[in-house]
Amino acid sequence: MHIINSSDFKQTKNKKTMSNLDELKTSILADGIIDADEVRKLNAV
Amino acid sequence: MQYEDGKIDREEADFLFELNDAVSGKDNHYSWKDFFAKAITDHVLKDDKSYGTVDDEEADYLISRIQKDGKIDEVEQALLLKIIDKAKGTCDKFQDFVLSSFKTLILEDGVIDAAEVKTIKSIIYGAGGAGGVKVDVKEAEWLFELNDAVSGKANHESWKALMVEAITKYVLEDETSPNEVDDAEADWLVAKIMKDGTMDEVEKAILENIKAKATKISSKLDTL
Repeated sequence: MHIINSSDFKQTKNKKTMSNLDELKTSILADGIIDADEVRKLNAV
Repeated sequence: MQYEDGKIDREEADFLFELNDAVSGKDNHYSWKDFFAKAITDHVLKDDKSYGTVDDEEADYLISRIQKDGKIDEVEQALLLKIIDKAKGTCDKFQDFVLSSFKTLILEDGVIDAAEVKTIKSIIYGAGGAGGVKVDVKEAEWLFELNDAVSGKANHESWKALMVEAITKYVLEDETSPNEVDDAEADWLVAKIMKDGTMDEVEKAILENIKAKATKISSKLDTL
């Protein structure tokens, strides 16, 4: 059994978060402005 | 972003700066400015190394990111003001950057309007400013530089009131000679007021207010 230590967990979490942020960035830059819904999404990532 | 732990890491801060540079000056929702200012403020203040303060490394980071696209947009201005408001203290480098940046922005149109007076007030009285909630010499000299640049122009009336209040506080609310104008303060006042060769109505009002409130005044002020 592979026990995930806190460092592994943080790295996994960070990769996931940055992936979500990159997706959000692509969505935001598609129309070039940041709307209220996108700010809400940034808050929730 | 990462608000479940209340922290924004450097990677996330970089991301937000990149995003802001990409949408700078566009018709973004007003909540973006608030979100950005709060998130980056949290990034520099809620860290383990220098909690509540902006240290040299953080100042270098902020300055390089803000200057990256060659302009300080209104979102970045809101960030600087938020940090000044929330920080318990900031390093000299950060204070100098704020004073110099806002001097340029405020003097762009050659006059000081009501909104700019509010901005100036938040800079000089903010806990994270040069003198904390007090007015220090750096801020007092900055105020005189602003005044010399807009002297005689159609500035908002609140500018004169702020100048009188802030410079009086600086001169009279010090620890060396509280409520008095000592020799050093008199020399400083004469030098600042006469720097551009004339005493304008704002400077005259400052002098009158200080003379009315001081319990003791150095004879060096008699030259004015």
